[in-house]
Amino acid sequence: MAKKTKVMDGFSVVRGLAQVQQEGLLPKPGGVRPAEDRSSRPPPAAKPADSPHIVKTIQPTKRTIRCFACGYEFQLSGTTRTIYCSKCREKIDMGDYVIDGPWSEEIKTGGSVIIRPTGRLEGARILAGNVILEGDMDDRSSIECNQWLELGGQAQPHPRQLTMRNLRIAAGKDMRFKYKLQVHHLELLGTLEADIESTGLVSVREGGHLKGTVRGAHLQVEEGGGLSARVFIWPQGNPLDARA
Amino acid sequence: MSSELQESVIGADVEIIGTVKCNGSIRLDGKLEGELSCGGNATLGKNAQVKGNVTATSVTIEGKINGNILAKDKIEMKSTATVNGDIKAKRLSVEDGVTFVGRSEVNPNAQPVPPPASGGQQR
Repeated sequence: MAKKTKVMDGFSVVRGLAQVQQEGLLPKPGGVRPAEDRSSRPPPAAKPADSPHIVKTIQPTKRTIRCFACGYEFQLSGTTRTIYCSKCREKIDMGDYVIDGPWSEEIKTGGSVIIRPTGRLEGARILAGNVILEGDMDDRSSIECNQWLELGGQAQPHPRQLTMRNLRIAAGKDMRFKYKLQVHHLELLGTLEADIESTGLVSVREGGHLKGTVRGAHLQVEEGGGLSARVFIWPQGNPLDARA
Repeated sequence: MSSELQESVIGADVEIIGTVKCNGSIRLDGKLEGELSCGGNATLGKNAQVKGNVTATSVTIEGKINGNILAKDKIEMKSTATVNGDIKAKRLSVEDGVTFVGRSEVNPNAQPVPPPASGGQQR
């Protein structure tokens, strides 16, 4: 008998079928199944909606991967070490890296890179899906993120060194961008002073503080968050742009 | 019932031109062209339309306001809110979906300015 499991995913199904087949409980392909005598069987009882017999199906998490060679974006389910771009067939490393010392090489990965507080980028180029910068980086280093860049620690990188789609400022971090900052989503747990243009959601969490100017469609401020800024938030788009 | 717990209500079919002042809390669902000054909480309902400044201890906005908002404690903008004006408060809460054009001065972490020491030198 297959082992009972509360979570039903693809692997559980395959494993269960293999076990049942081993025990000879499955009919052979093409074999005739004997007719069942249903007269003695009681009618099935209606199960309540919250029955413990109802199993959950888990969908593997989907990630958006961007090919470094051709820029093509596609989705990946589950985890793997390496994949190939479905457009240009370029090999893409999907590994996760942790830097906790001096680092001066290039990293190209669709996974994540974490630069620990003891880590330091020295003339390094990081291209990754997600990056968490808790350590330091010199003027010659650069970070390019396809998804989230989280800035924490004491590092004060120049905005020109950073390319990201979404930005998160960690709690306790005080960051200042001199130039216009264009991002999709922005999440603030620390303090950010900048001229922000967002196409997604600007979220100021509890303890976060936004200073400067913010233009975008969506703003969310949690209680305990600060906002000392010129604000232009139009969920339906700028009416002045529509008129022009 | 004590007067502190009472809430004045201005209905959706009421239109006021002038200044509204109250010591307690107020709920406005109609139109107001003028200032609203309130000692308690001011709630601007979904149908509320205000052209003027609002001053209160705390302000909850669900409707439209063209004017500045000054709250001693808190400003709360619900997802249906439209605010054209500057806001100033100690605490702020903004739901996704609001339309807001103006300046904001909200710093919950700001240290209050200490009063001058009484034992100072006098000239």
